[in-house]
Amino acid sequence: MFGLDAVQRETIGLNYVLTRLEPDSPYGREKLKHLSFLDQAALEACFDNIEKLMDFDEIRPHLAALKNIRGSITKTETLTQVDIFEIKHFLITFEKLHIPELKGISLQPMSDALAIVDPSGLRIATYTVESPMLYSIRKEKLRAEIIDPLLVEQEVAEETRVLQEITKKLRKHTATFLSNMNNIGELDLTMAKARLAQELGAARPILSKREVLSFKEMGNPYIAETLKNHSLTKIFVTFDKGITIITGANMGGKSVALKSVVLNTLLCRAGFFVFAQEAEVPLFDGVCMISEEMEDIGQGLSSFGGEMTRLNEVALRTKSDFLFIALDEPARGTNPEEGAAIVRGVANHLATSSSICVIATHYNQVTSPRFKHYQVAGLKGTGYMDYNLVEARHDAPPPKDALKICKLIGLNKDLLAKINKEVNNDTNTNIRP
Amino acid sequence: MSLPELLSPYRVITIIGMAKNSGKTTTLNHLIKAFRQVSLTSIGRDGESVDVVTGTDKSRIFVYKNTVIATAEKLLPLCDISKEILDVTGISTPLGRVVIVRALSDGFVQLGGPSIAAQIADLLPHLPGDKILIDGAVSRKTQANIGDAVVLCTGASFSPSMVETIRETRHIVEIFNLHKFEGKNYIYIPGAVMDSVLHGIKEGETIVAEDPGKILISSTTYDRLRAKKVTLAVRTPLRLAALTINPTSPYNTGYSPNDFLEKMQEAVTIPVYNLHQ
Repeated sequence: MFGLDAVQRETIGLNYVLTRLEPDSPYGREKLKHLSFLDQAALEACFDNIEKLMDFDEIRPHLAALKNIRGSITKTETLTQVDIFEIKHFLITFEKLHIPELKGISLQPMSDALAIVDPSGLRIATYTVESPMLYSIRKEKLRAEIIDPLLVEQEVAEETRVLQEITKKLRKHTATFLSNMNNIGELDLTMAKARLAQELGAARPILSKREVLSFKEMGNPYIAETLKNHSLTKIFVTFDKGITIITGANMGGKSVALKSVVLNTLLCRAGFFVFAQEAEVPLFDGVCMISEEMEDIGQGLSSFGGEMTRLNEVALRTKSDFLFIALDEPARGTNPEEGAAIVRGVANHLATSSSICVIATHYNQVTSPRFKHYQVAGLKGTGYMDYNLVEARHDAPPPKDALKICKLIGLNKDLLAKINKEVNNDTNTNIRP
Repeated sequence: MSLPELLSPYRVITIIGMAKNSGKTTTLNHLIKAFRQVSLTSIGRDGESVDVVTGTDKSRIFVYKNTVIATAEKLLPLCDISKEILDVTGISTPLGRVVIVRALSDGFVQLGGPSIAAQIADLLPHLPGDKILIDGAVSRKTQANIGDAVVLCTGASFSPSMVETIRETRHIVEIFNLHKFEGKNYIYIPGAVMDSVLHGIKEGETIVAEDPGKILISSTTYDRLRAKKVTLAVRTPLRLAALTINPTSPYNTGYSPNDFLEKMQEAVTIPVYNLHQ
């Protein structure tokens, strides 16, 4: 889904968000399984609808009462009594669905179809096959002392005839049924999106006409949940066309920032409100993420080989598509010299495309005056990590937080002393320019 | 006291059989005739329901107008009552979903309810009335632990030898009547209790099973356990209220009705009825 594999969907928090989304009807659940990117007009309509459907929940019990009757509506055989019971139940429930005026979602009245399965108009939810002839057959059947097989036969024959007639009449409404099921699905899913936005605090994003991806006070409910008691720093970022490099120490939150950006960008493109105070998201053709957590890429390649294959595919795609590309620690498994060179090369190459590309890396030598550069704020005097991203000059020195982190997580003193000694030796022999 | 009188205090009554043709349908029909307004379903008789569709099972249950039945979708055409569909449940069987139907006329019905006991709990709220009869499976295994009372049906179809039928029936009655164990120091067996339990059990020990349906030991093993002074008990006892007997069988010449009734009554402590007269 959305070009992400199952592991990535899990780690960025997409699965978490989608599981929290609970449509009431089988039609809404169907829609949830087939989420996709929407075009601009559909997105604006969807966002308008979400706003309109906030706190609209009086029809939820009716939506929950609906059953999936697609099988009965589309089957070619004559409908059975049970099929018609379900259609009648659907139509009686459908009649109770009064909805506000929405964009692109409307329900067509089905009173004609209901009249076919509920000729008496009593709206009783049970169903008996009826006709004047059946009435007289049953009257006789009740009078008879013993079961008369002939009467039973007559009853079955007449029931079959009536069922065939009803099937034929209902067939004329098939398109309306299918259209309404589709619209109920959209309505239900949009109501679920509105509830989710309220429950988890999401806001309407602005669809950017510029090639700028920007979030103010962005969060990620999944990561917030995993951190439990630790509060997650809200992130402020703006990525322009071309390359942005995020540098920072291990454990510094580069990954978290990148995942959150990917999550919120995807959500926006699929017509969800986003977890940010403000957001500006352009209409990407696709979102590509290459990260450590990818599923085994297979084909007998090492993880490095797999990563490069994916990178190659993404680079090719930028020729035709406007993409958001998130590279989380590319070439991490390689030696530092080659690794940094590869990342520089990738950045230089992608810089020529019109896509927006963000690279999180701990190779500091990748930055360049041509690239935007963010650093993780890092450890503060209080001894806590500040995960916020701070824009930095391309030649800003890397924050040296690794040792502080070692200390924070309680590395034993002897080990820490040995590491400190090595660090001091290293800085003495390899003095940076 | 007649069988219906005996069963009148109970709301949910399960009828199970020792073998095919042991009189389950006769017993059901007898109770329906006596109680009139009942709800009906079956449990775990998938195989039998398939027999119904293929025409190998001719047993039919006669119900009166206003009876509510829960049966599988594909068995509806085989019911000759006039039908009002009340509900369609989410319970699936090999013969389609279980639907709730009210009889608008008297007539014969075919029952194909849930396959497993757990689904009966979902189904019971759909069934109205103060008498619910459940057509249980043929075989004593597992599905008996439903309802407020159980009626066991046995008969000549079980074996050409009356002695054997009585011995095995008495065995099942004894197992079904096992008490709840209240004391300390016992061995709890959470799953099925099989004949292998005999090995490794010491004299005078106590075995506790979840319910009588889980105890699948043979009568020989049961006798040996008794000889070892081993106590068998359960956590959830059953109320086996009565036994019905069918002295006739389509497979053999059957037994003498009076002789069978007398010997069966001597063998068990619960009331025995011959409804096949």
